Amino acid sequence: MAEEPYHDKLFDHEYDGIREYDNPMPAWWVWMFVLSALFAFPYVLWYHIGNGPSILDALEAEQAAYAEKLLATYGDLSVDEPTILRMMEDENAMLAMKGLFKGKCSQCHLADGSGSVGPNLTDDHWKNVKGVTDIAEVIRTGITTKGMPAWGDQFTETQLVLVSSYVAHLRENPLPGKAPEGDPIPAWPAASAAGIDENAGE
Amino acid sequence: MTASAQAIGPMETFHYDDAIVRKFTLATLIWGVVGMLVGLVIAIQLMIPEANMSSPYLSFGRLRPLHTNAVIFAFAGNAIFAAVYYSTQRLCKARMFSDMLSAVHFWGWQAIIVSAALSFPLGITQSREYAELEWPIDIAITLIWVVFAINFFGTLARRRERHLYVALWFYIATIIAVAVLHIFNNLALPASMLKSYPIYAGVQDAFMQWWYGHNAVAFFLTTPFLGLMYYFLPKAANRPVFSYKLSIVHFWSLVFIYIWAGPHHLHYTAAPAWAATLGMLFSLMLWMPSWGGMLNGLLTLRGAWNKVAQDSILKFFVVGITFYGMSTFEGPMLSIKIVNGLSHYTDWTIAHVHSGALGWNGFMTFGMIYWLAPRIFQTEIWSKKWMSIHFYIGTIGILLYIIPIYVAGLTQGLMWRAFDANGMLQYTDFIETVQRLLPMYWIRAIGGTLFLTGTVMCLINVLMTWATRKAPYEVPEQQAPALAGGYVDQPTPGSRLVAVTKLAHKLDVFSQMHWHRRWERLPLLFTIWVVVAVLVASLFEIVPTFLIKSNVPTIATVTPYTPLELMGRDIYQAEGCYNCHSQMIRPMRHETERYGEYSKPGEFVYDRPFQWGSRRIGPDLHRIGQTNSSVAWHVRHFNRPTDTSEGSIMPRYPWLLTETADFDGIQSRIDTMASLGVPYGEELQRAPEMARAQATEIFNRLIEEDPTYAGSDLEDKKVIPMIAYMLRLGTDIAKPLPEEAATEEVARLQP
Repeated sequence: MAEEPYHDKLFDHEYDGIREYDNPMPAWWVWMFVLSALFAFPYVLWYHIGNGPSILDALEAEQAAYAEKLLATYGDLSVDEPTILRMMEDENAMLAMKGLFKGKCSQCHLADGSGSVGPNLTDDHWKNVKGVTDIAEVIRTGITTKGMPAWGDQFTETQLVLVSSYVAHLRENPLPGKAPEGDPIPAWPAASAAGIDENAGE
Repeated sequence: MTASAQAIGPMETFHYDDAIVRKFTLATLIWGVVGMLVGLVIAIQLMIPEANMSSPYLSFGRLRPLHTNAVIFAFAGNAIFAAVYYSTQRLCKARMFSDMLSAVHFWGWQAIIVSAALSFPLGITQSREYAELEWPIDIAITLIWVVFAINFFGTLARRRERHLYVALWFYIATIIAVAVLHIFNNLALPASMLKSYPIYAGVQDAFMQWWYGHNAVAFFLTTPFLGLMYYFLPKAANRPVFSYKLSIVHFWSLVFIYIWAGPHHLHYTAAPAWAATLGMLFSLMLWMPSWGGMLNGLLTLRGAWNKVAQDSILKFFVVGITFYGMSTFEGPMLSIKIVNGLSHYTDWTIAHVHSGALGWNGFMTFGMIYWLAPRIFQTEIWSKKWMSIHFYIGTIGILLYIIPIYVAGLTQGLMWRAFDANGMLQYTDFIETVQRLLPMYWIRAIGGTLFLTGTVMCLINVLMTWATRKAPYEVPEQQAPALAGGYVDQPTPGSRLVAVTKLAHKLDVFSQMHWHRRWERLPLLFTIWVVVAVLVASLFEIVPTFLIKSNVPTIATVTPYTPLELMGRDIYQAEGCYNCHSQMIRPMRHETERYGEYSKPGEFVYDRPFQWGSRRIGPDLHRIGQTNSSVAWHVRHFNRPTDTSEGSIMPRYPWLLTETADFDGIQSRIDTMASLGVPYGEELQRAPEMARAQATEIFNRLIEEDPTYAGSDLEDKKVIPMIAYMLRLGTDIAKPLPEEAATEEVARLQP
């Protein structure tokens, strides 16, 4: 900064002993100020007058990319017994749903599904479920009188299948947890017994 | 004859009032210790929630506003007043306008602080950040501020110094802008002596609140402290101010631009995009005006750096100004939308404000007080060594506070948005992201303890200095000639340019800023320009926010809160839930995955006040009604959060299960809401009955869910309205359209 023209010329005024120099403003300061103000014009032109993506556009793009990824990984799943049973065998899908279950369901059912406010999902006693499609239905519409929320608006059909499969597969590992509620139901049919093969579910 | 020597009247004799400065100085330190201690207490509660001893009066949500208000309005506030009362008298060569007004100002302000310290723990709050005080106290603040203004401007009117020094410009801006901000942000309709509802709702309320919130930082924590710097720094360093021109340009640009920047607190929210963009662009423009102050401060020390090495007071100032420079660089950076997308709702904000509050406001205050103490107590400072230790312990304290909290903020921001290879959230459980921060919180508490220790040392040092004072104080006689009429400004300089257009000549003359010299001797004109600067910017943002209908598109299924839900909402505010929970899901996939559909402006039209929050110590709650509709869960969770959520650091609220809710009091609140335009019908006649009926319904649901509650007495307890509010939150958008509206909607879509 030594080369800047600060000649340190004092003004003749003085306030309670405080004097002031008649120095110019630092040139870089002036230019940065001007540039920071000029930046507004291209920004507004691009994002508000032109075609720059809005925040909602960005969200849509993000969501579309994820939907594509889901589709690429699992195909377009529909909520029926064979599909739910088939996805239970998909280890990657079950691993992927573990986190989602922890985030959305564990508050009432605990992360391992052994139940706290909500029922134990690992035993053979169920309250509103006879088959795996009932699980999807309970998740979709909830049991509001019992505190189970409806998730239909938040999950796509594919996600609904995957979550239902995950919940159904918890039964493979019975945990002591919350005492059984509801009636005992038979084991889920085996995926092959439900009469499906790899190409089914279309 | 020089300009300063002309148009003077007879010599006059007067005395400065330093007694009022002594009072404000002591109040600064006493409240500083209190405010910082409360801060430390709540910092500890984040790590050890049981530290609140399950007392409602010590609960985080109630104490956090006490901490913020105490350090802003009590610590920084009294420091500002000490600076203004000391320096204005000297810069005007006049005693304060009225000793009586000075006393009313001092005692009135302390009474306001005491009322704040009582009302927050009692849960009396407007739940608007940094404007939490309820309406009777707000009126008191307005009155005391007017007293201060009369006293200050009266002193200017009686000054014996022709021109106003730059410190006074900043004081003028402070007094004007704070008055405007305080009054317009706090316009509310009382429902009772201790409860009011704002005249603004939802998006507009959020807009007003952050117009205020941001400018409280601008005009309470920045402009007065720049004024303080411009007086005390050159005095302490005994050096001339670096550049008078820079003072002019950065003062006016700061005053004009700051006001626009508020909406940067509302990025990615339901506030209109154009407002967020204005907030961001003006924040970027604010960078250099802010740095103008830093430069004029630091460059004033050119040639005096050897003094800085030996003088603790200058060290405090240098570190203070450096932190000002850092946080005013960081502020514009955080206002950039994508950066804000990462930082918002995280501890980054907390680190940012503490680098400003501890570094800039704290250290400038300490520097000033150490410089003032020997002068106002007319004796040597009790211990220079303690002063030096305070400087080092305070600096280390700031660093130990902010560095881990920056790390915490980044950590949490990155964890929230992390997706795994499957495109699923990597950390689905919010508590995971909280637990990760706890080690950082411990280091922060150590930093905070060190900083508080320094403040206590300062208090002791000043008290000991006071104890060794001369009695009685000397009141030296001052002499200065009165100002007389007939002053002629120095002639306007000519252009320095040759052979260019007339316009260029004019611009060159303008850029020499001779015109400003004239303003400086005309306080009324100067003040009018400040008012214009503040109001123009405000109106350009506020008027469109209220007038453009498309800012808040209506949603047909959104209906007013039921009486019981409104009761719950009021309890939510009283408990200060907004201090830890946002109600604003941003349009980002990691947020919609975690919390549900992003928040729409039309969902908040009955929210008075808005409860979007600014920090997520806990998860967002806007869609809690959709994602957790279990009454039994909520009862257990309020009673002891760890019962349902292992590792939760939320405080317990056992009193919600034992205190009876005020069913009869809801009628006046419903009526007040109706006066504000909320379309209530039947509720206007029988709100308490309706609330009781809904309470019974929810209580029955509780028993349905968990029969063990059958014999309990929870039906009329506060937890029931609170749960009613929880179950309602964010659900309107998913309701089926009422038939009539559905028909309209179809008609609209098929023109």
